[in-house]
Amino acid sequence: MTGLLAFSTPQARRLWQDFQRRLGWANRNLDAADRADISAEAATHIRDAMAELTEGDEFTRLQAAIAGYGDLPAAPPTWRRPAAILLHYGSILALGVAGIFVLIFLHMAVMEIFNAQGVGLWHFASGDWALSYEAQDGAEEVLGAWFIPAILTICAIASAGLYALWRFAVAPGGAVSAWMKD
Amino acid sequence: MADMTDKAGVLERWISQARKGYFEMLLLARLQAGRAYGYQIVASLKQVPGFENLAEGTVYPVLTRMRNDGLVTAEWVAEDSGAPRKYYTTTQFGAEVLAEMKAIWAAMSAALDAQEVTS
Repeated sequence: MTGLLAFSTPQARRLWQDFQRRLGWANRNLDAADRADISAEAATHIRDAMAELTEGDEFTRLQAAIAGYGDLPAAPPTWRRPAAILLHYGSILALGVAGIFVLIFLHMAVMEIFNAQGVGLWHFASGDWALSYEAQDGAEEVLGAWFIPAILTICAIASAGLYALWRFAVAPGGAVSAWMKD
Repeated sequence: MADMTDKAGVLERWISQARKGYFEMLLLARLQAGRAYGYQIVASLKQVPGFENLAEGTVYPVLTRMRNDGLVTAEWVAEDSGAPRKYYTTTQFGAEVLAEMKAIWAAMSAALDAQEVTS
């Protein structure tokens, strides 16, 4: 029944097609029959609204009729859902790997208490760096008593970052989860 | 605490919430007066205070829900002009629900008046 509305200008046809896309998107949670029904009703509504408008050309009247119908959200770009799925599962992987590193760092902070001579951040004469549980030959430990506060600070910052990532990309109420359903 | 100068904002928020509350009742009342199609219903609603700027498209999902709830029936009718229109009619169940809604509305109004007398 939506075919009852025919427009003579390409500009009006494009606007009408955009409106139909937006309407379909706004009613995406309805079943197909209700969606088709609302789409057909919208067409009769727009036709009635345009008939009441006496001024302006076809495009202007269609624009006014659509404005009266209400602001409909645009459908998201087609790439958003697959991108969200990739981001979701990529974040789970990143959280797992980063989480293991945070646990290792925490473990090192604890082990620093029992083995202050071995655990530390070591700097070699060659310029290389190593985070190690054991003293390194030819290397100097650079953090000393600051090792534990430094590691705990890194863990706190990393945990906050990982929590933010979880809220955004993994949590059921997060933005990425919502995009995955669109 | 609300800013005393923001009366318009407070009222706007309250009206918006209230409008959602009695939207279905208004639709049922309009349809009890006689069957109507979407554009007619919207035109009637726009005469009601608070609904002047109604987004017309919001009526249809509500009518669909009311039809699914058995409050109204809908039927496509071919007009003389050749363009079909979907007409809505209140069901017996819808009329009973509307009567209950009106009774609640009247009780609420009476309670509000009583508050004003006692305060």
